[in-house]
Amino acid sequence: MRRLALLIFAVVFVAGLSARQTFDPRDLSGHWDRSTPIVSFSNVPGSGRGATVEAPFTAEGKRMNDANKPGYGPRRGTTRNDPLGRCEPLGLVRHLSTEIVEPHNTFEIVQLPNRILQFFEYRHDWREIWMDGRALPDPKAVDPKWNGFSVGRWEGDTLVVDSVGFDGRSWVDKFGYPHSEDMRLQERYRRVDAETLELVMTITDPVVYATPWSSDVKRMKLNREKAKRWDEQIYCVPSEEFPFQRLIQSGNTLPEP
Amino acid sequence: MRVSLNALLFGFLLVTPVLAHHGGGVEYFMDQTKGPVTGTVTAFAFTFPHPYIEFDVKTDSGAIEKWSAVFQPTPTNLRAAGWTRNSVKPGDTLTVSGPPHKSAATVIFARRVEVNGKLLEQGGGGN
Repeated sequence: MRRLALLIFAVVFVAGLSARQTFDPRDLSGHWDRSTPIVSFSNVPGSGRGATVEAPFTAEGKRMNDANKPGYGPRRGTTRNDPLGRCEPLGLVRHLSTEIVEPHNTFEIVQLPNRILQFFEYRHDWREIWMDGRALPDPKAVDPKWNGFSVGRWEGDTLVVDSVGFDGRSWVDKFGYPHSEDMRLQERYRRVDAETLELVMTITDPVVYATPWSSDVKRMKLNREKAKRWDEQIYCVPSEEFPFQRLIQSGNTLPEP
Repeated sequence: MRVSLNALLFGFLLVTPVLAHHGGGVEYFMDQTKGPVTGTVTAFAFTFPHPYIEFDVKTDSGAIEKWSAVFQPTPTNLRAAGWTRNSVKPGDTLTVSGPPHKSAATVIFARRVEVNGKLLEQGGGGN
């Protein structure tokens, strides 16, 4: 009996080892569902996960944060000005946090010879990462974009993505943490096994944060079934979103021009 | 026995998943239940961010009140539980109970929904 148990253990161990080993760490393609529960950018107060640390606000950053009225987190209220409820683009950082509950907390990565594309299910948005060695543009010389401008490179088996040129109207998460047009974002992706992708983001934004501010480790699981299904095509439709916001009396309407 | 604030918060979030997300604890009295309220459906918005049903409720005095029942799950989650955009139609009889909205007297969180006498399960999900 003991020999049988040992044999079964050995078979399972080898099978597991094989599954873990049969992947290319530089192949990040697929649908990745967030498996770590934090809905905020980092372990900030109210994120409910272990020891929390407030963001390293500057005085201006604190002022900007106070001006944001979220419907989530410890500062949530019934009167909001969240871009999410106004059908405005979420912005790259918020997309990468995949803050929406399942099954929408997901993105797809498609790798092309010279670019990596990321498709975000919620709000049907996407972004490109140029992998051809080009330099980032001077953010002062370009018009800010909601998802910025991104270039990537490999450091060993870690994909490092640097981005600049962000529209400052988006929030970095649903708790209302702000950023400015001066934000520089670095993402570090690592496929740790066949089924798991890890992402850590670091924001450098001297206008808002006194020191570079890193996220917690976002962990995603490969969803092979999703690759066989039709895309959800979740847009924000003003004729649907705005009546809902009025219905729940969120105050989350755009100011009159 | 001293309990850390983080432990309390974590435990609280474990037992009240709705409050960990947005709508519940902000807009509704989640520890209360209103209803059942019965009325006639006038519209079913099977849309993001949260579907909702609009229905007319006749009061004791014969007046018509305009009510709305708002769902927690997204359309995707409701679809996984068997719903379609035709699961509720104008003219259907709706009976709903759930937490009341904090400021809108005729808005209710759709925790339990019966359409024409049949209970419709909602599955999980939604934020």
